[in-house]
Amino acid sequence: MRDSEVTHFLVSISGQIEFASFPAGVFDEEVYVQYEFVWGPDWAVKSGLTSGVSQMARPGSNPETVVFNMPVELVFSSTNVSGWPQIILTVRAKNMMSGDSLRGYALALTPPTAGVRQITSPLLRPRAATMLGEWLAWVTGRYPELADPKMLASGKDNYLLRTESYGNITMSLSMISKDLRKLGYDNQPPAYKESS
Amino acid sequence: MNDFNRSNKVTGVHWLKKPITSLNIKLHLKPENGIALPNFEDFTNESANLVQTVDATEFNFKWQQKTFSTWELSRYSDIHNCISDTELEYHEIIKDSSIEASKVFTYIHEDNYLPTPKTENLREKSDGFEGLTSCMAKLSLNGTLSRFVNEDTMSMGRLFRSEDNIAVDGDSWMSMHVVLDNSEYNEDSQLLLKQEAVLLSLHHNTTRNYVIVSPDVNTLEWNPYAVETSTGVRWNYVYALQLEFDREDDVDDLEILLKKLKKKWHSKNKHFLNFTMPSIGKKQYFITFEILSAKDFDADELYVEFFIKYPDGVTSSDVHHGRTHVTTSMRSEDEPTQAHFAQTVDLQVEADDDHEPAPIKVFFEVISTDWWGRHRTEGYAYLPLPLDPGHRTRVLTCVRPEEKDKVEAESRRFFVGGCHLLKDLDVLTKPRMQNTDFHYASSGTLHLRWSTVAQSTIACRLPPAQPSVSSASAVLQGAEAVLKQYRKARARLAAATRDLKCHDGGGDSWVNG
Amino acid sequence: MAELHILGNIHGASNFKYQSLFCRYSFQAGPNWTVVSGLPEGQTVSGQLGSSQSAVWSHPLDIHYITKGLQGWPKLLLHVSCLDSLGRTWTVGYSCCSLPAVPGYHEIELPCWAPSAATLTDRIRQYFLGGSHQLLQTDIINIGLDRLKLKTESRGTVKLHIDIVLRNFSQFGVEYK
Repeated sequence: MRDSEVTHFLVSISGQIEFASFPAGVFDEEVYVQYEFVWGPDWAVKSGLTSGVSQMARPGSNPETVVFNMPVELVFSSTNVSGWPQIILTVRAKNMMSGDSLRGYALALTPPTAGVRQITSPLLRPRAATMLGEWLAWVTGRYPELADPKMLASGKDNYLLRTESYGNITMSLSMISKDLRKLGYDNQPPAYKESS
Repeated sequence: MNDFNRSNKVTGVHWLKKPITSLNIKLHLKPENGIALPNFEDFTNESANLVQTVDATEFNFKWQQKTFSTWELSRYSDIHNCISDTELEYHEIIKDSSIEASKVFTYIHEDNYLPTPKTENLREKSDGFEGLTSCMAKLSLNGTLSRFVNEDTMSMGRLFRSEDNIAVDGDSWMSMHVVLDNSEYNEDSQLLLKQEAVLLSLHHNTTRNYVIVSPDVNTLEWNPYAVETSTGVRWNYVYALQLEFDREDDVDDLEILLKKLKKKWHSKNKHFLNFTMPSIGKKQYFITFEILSAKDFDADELYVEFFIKYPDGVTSSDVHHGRTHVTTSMRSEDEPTQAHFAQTVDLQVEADDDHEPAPIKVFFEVISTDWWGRHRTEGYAYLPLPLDPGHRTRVLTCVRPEEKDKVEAESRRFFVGGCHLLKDLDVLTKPRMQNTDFHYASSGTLHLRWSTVAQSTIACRLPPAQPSVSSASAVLQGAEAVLKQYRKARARLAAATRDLKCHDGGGDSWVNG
Repeated sequence: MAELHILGNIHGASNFKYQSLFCRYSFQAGPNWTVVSGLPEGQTVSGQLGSSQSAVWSHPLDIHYITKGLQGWPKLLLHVSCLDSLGRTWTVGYSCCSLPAVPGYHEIELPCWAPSAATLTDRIRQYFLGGSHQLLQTDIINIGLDRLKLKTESRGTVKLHIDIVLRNFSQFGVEYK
């Protein structure tokens, strides 16, 4: 294929959702994470699972972290960098008291530069709009949830959603691209490291 | 209607993209398999020899190409039979050249063999050709248009329009019929029994420039049409039709040319028209630097005054000096005192392309104000701002000149204050020029960030001969060349589509309406 | 046409002394620049101050610019506002930063400031009732060279995580890294 005929580039994203950490410790018996990819209109999935659910996990020796090591692997093709895939993580917990309840949403951009990147993104949790709701959430251990977590990725129409942040989740994702350069894109930082 | 449904013949409407003169009608005729064996008479009849081969016989006709049957030949060769102009013309043709009779022959428009669709409607199935009549009736009355439209969905709008007023006055038709001659002749080509079957009728609406093809194109393998007389009697022949247009190299070439031209124009466009370039031989630098914050200064209310000195060979925008807003520092236990500025300064600098310019010198003076309105220098800093592209952050340590005598220094500072202590800021760049009466006390830090982008004209894209020409005229020249080529191409396009326009010409009123 | 993609997120704010913060942002660029897709203006969710004295927004950014020239490289303007328990909001910080031109990942800190109360009564009112002075003309956040007349207070810091992807810039002789 000649260079001028290249219209698509391919992006392969692979890696794993490593762990969630909660600075005050984990009080749930089982924690699990759902992931979901969101991408722009010019993008198409070539292979891989765009959503998934991890195993049930509980903290080990370190009471603050829950390790998932959930593998994620996808190949996208696109004509336009705009709408670069984002990953939405929903961390949920199961315990005797409250059943299945939300622990937080996290949103992360998959790395647009080639190579491995460790991404730590904070877990956000919507807050109840009223005092009563907040009290109920505190009593029952169940928090308000978003009907569609994908709205977080669009960045609009959030109507000043009130959130609080508790804990964060760490992923390590690596990106490999094909034909991105041929299409004139430059996404790589210079080889030298800037002193900062 | 029964007829219509029983036979597989449907009428097709084709919108013409090319002039109808380039239309090529290809007809494959073949004896029907296994039903009729050739009889002795067929072998003796010379005109029937054509069909003896099992393979299909191919006939090619151009639009309005007259082919003669044996009967016609013999008729028109005698001048006494010729009355009308057309017939006389045929006589001339036959007389001059040796034209052979064909088993499949044509009636052209001048023959007025069958009525055109317009007159058809008026006459109400007067004569027996019911296949066409029903087709026409269907076409003009029925709403099921989709079956007639086989190729050009883009022209649907025209089709609907024409459906409404197909019989409206003003539409002019050209027709042509391809007919199978199955007449019986004796040895001297004398007609014994005249038998003819219309294989294909073409009606070209010259106003709207479409063709009604009845029956529509087909393939011999999949749905061959049976040869039928107008009364529905089958003869043992099947046939297939194809409509082709002359491959017009001209048009293809033009298309390629236009594509190339577009590409070329785009790339030219991209490089010269759409992107602002520095003037030739110059390199432009776009620098945005940000004074982020000042940390660890004692005073509460701070501002930063900055001076920019451009080195030789660098022409600059008019920014030489500026002051940030006054901000009250934030104090907290665990973090250093910090004053936030977040002021951005845009610089645009131009230098000669051939050598790397020296860094721009930026001097900062952090000044505090107090309630009395006194301004005091808190510290000086100097940043050599290199012009190589990148995004950088830098923390500068500030120094403050102080008198040698500590008591004197403190008291002057406390009672008098004063800013702009250094008259010549170049002292900061050249430590040896420092006045020995002062020593320098370090005070706080200044946090800076800047990003530089450079742009130079690309050498290989320069117009080669005239280095002195400014980029604007180079742009114009390039554009003019492109425009000239474009005009040429348009002229060619006009020439190639002139026929099309001729056919369209009569319908201007509705095209516009 | 050269293209610039800004991907990433407005991560959050720290060191603000308010319980609940949100931020309105707008990208501003020179006349050469056109936004093709993405939201050049928007508003984050309202994040409550967490354990580390910081509010987290994690607001996604995905902006696609095309440009005809380098002049007026995009800048990001921020208004950080607070939302109190009564649902009132007022601006508690302004900031501005120029976006880097180097492709790749950048973590950018934006120090914020807010106009300070000029008089004692204003100060008392702000202390007890909340509210703040606001800029009538927000242009001043990013332009103006001599701004000595403006008296401000330093406020917290906003953090930005950004990936820059450039396209076709080098075709026009632009060096950016």
